[in-house]
Amino acid sequence: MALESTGRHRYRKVKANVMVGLTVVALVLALIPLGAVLYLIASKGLAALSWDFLTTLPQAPMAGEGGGGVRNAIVGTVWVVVIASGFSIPIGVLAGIYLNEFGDNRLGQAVRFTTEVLSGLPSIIAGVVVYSIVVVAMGDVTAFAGGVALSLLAIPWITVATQDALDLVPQANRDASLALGVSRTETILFVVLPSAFGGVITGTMLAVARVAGETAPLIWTVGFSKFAFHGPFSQTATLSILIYNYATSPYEAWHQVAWGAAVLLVGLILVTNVVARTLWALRRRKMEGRG
Amino acid sequence: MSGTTESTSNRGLVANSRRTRLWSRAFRGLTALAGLVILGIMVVILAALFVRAMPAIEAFGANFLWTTKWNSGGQFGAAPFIAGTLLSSAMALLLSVPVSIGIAILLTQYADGAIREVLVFAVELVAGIPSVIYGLWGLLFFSPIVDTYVVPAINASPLGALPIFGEQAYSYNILLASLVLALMVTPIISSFSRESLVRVPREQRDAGIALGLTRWEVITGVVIPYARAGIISAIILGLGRAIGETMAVTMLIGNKPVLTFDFFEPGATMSSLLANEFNQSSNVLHNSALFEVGLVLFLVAFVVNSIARLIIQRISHEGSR
Amino acid sequence: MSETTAEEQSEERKQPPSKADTAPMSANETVTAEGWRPDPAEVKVSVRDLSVYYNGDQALRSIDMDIPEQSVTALIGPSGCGKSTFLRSLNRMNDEIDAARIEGSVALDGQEIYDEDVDIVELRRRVGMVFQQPNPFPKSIADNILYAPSKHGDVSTGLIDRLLGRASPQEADALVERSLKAAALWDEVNDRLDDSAMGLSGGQQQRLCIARALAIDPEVILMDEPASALDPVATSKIEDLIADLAEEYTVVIVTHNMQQAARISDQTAVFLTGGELVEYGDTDQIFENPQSQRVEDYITGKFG
Repeated sequence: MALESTGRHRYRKVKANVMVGLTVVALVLALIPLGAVLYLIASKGLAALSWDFLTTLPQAPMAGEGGGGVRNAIVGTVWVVVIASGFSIPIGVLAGIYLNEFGDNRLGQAVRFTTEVLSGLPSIIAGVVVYSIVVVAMGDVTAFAGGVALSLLAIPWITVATQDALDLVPQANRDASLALGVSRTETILFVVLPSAFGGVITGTMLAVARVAGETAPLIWTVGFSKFAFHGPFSQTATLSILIYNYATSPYEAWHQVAWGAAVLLVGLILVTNVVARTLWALRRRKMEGRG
Repeated sequence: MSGTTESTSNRGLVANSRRTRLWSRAFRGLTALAGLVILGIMVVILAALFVRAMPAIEAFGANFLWTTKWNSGGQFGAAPFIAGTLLSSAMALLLSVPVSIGIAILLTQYADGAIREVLVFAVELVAGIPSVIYGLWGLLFFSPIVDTYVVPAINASPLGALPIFGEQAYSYNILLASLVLALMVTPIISSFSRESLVRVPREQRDAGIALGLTRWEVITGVVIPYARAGIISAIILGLGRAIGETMAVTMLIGNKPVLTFDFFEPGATMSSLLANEFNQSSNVLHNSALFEVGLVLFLVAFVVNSIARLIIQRISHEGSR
Repeated sequence: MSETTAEEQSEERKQPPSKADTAPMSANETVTAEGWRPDPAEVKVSVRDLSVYYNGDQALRSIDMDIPEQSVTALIGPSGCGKSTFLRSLNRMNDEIDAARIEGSVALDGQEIYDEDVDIVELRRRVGMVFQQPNPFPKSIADNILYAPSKHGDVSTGLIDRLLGRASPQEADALVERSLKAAALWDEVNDRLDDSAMGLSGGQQQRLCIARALAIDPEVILMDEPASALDPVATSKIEDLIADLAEEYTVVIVTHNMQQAARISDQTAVFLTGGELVEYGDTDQIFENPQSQRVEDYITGKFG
């Protein structure tokens, strides 16, 4: 009645270990491309960065000159993101509040389901639809239309993020406030929202950063431009479209510019992510410290 | 409580003055309005696509779905793009699902503490890179690698005999797009699978271990079956994402609007078509056909995502039993 | 075993028994009745000086205990006194917890289970466990029973085996029937063996878990409050089952329910605060005439 391993046991143990090894291989398989992307962006992109790069306009890469700078694209991206935020943050936050605080009914169910489905909306469709309405109405592609298209994508993200943040606030807090005779709205505005504020900010920041990197919605709504920014109601360059156009062009100089723009975009997204998550973690620790 | 003159004893019952009540209602109405806006967005999307697609729908009818000609002799058909979407998504899932689930298992059953946090962050980071940058990377870096290593490897192996891997391999083809697509959907499938695996009660694993099973046997025989609904919905969500993915695909797939089942050939998907042919519509019918493709794409993504979400809803209801 | 104890019990009743007062002593001493010791030939599990630490906190203090075979040993005591920890030390389930450190010795049939070259898988075949919450796998009733045996190689039911013609469906069916009968569940479920186990009632699920544990042919069965999540009717079925099982298996059961321990067990071990085994002996003797004041207080409800 010994307790030592038999052949079969050893086989099973070896098999178990091999399988663990395979999962590690899977992880590596996913992370190597990420590493390659980050490395390339960093090495090629940083090489392209310079003060000129940030402050001049793109130019045709003839005669051995570089591909120019991305000033208009940076401005364009900022504008488009700001316009998108202007639409999506109020709508998203309010809808998130509705769903979590007032949404226990049929309308709430419908909105919840629609929000979830919209978060899977193909990004190109957002652009196509906004084209058919806004661009056609305004007669031309504009930064404004691009902002609207981006907000179609961002609204579900912000709604869900707000909902999740509000959900984290314990029901006891609401009950205590209501029991004191405070109205539901005042409870939400003065008790729940302040508590959930950090989460809402985090979610919004992440959504905005994500939106800055979107390209497909802008194809049909903003187009591209080599010229300086003209105002929100005209065509403009954006970083993402610039990358799309220049990467698919045959010019090496423009490829360089694309890498430079890529490092700007990824840098922005990374920084926003890290800041947002750190703020969130700090806030959580503060709340837990108060216990 | 401005504007009222209740004595202290009345205050408890008449706590809300009319003004506060009005603001309350207004606020609630405002949030409901925001909800209605979301519903409205959905309706507008459907309506806009439908209205714009109408001319094409009337001209081609149901045949649109399997007509293989695009923009030749006045004919427009979505078959090449539906096929392209299906092929690229299927290949992407085929490659991504084992990898994603493997990662989910590693991160929930084996990794722990700080290491796990870092690895989770790294995998999420893959999802954070914008699609156009994967396209850029694919074009300028990955494509030559695929040409030099992957394609010959496939041709040398028994797979090369299959009809889906033809003779000539172009640099920008369905295979390249599928590979990058697989990478891009991995974080979604992995993270939703992780959520499901984490929900498996401790006792299930304990029972398996107490029976003398190895950890791997417990994972495959107990944990994964327990979480299978969640994993399935994770895969379907990944499929939805693959279907809708645009930029990386359009930059890598070659954009040839011709029906093909050969992964080495260039092709097109519904989304890549729309990205590619903006401003190239030669006539109203062409434009309308584009919208009809958009409508099909939207409906397919809608159905796939709805199925996934319904499964998730069902799980969370059962969970609260 | 019973004769000597009874004799010595009646001896002690002639004088007022002096309670060994167990104010916390530096060296932990388990009080047992004079001369009560399981027959060495009948000892199945022998525990010597077992201590368990969770992240530095001591959960079990130098436990010494001999568990006789083919009987029911009950572990009682207030919550958090280490009963479950002790139980889980017998099949090395504590190994799964990183924060746990184990010192001392546990021997199964004289063989140390914490030895380096002991195969944990084999150990857990011989020492089975049933948990407090019924936890059937999300499979059919039959598959619940067959999963572990097929992995261990007792039966061949896998797809590959079937393709290779190595499958033994009759053996599998026989094993399912044997196990369910031994767990007193066969009559109730034999017509729906392919139905999901999740559809069974709580009591049935728990008996299925017992059947599942029996299917791998253990010698010792550890039970951690197996009936505490069940209603009284289901509980009494489990208790009857335990009495039957004890004829063939060595049963060690943790229970919060002192009446249950008094009803079904042959010997009882009392764990009190801090993971101390304060008294261990024949069940009747523990409940009628405990040697330790603390144990008497606990049993008569003065504390805990």
